[in-house]
Amino acid sequence: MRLLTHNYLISNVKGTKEGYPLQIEAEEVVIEDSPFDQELVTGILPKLNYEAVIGALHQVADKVEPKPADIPEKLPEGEIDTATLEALYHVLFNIHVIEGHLVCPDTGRKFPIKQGIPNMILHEDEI
Amino acid sequence: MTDFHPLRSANDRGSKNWEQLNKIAEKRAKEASPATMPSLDHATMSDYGQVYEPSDDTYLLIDGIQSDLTENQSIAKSARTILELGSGNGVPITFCSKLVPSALAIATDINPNALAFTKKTAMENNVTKLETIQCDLATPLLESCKQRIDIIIFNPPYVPTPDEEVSGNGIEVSWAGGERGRLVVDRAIPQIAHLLSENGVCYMITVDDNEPEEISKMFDALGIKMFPLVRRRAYNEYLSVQKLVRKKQTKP
Ligand SMILES: C[S@@+](CC[C@H](N)C(=O)[O-])C[C@H]1O[C@@H](n2cnc3c(N)ncnc32)[C@H](O)[C@@H]1O
Repeated sequence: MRLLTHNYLISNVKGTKEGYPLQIEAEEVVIEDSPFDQELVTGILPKLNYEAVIGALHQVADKVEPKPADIPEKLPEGEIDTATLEALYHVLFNIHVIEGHLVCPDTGRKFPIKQGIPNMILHEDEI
Repeated sequence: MTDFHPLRSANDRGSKNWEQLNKIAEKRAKEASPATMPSLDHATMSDYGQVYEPSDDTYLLIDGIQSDLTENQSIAKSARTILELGSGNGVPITFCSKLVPSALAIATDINPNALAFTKKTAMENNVTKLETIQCDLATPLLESCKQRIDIIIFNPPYVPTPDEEVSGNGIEVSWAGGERGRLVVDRAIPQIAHLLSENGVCYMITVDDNEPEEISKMFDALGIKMFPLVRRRAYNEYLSVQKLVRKKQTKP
């Protein structure tokens, strides 16, 4: 699960108010480099919840080796320089949570991540 | 299944207008150049005990995607997010990703084996920007992805069965569709309408037993136009790929 995907996921478990952002409890994180795609990252950025990106990065930071280039604490307004875009691309697309949990901020419900696949299925009594 | 699902007779296939659209789609399917299947070299026969094996519906779906994206290059060029509901073997989303140069592909399924298989199919075909989520349809994405998905692919469990058969997360739910094969489809309709971006497209499989013209009316009420893109007979059923697009607001 890439950090980008984390940005999209919400907990729908019964009793949640916001269900967002999910807290990441990472056990295994890997970096897989992939070619920088400027069009993709610029297309996706405006729609992101940037605060949640920063939060997610902090939560996995101690498992990420080598340490990624810094990204701005706030998304810059207007045009973003290429170096920053590359750093953002790296964080969103190259950091993969392989094992761990996503935790609903309201209910504490834990959604397991196994082999990079988050399981967001709810039991019948949770709907 | 042949005994239980006889071919629908010509006169209950919908209105005149719908029939006309079906004829056009049949012609388009005949004229379309057949899509090349992504490689499935990683698959073993035992995988297909747990994961939906590519079948006539899968083939028609990728033929339809290829024909439409070749004709509308601007969609392929501008798409940034592709979503497949129930990716199963991963063939459609892998195929589509190859035609769309700069996009993230998100595959969902309730069957965890299907998602593991989808990942392998993507990797086998050098599709790297794929994410997989085990969930019901696109439920955990709805909040954040409102009108943000540029290409949606859906080959639902469409076979008419008793409603009770639609349960669990194994191989049965890859085809069991409940009454008229509509149990899962009908739940997906509002989700698709919610997720589709302004210029987005959705490609969805139906069989005539699903009463697609009625489905088109349900989409119409949600601001989405649906029409048959390609159509082909396979054994005892007529399969169609329906294309869905957002109706353009006419300026006041
Ligand atoms: C007909 S198969 C299609 C597989 C593949 N996409 C193809 O075209 O060959 C339907 C798939 O939908 C999945 N599915 C069924 N119900 C679902 C649901 N409620 N949410 C997500 N996936 C579902 C099944 O596990 C199966 O993989």
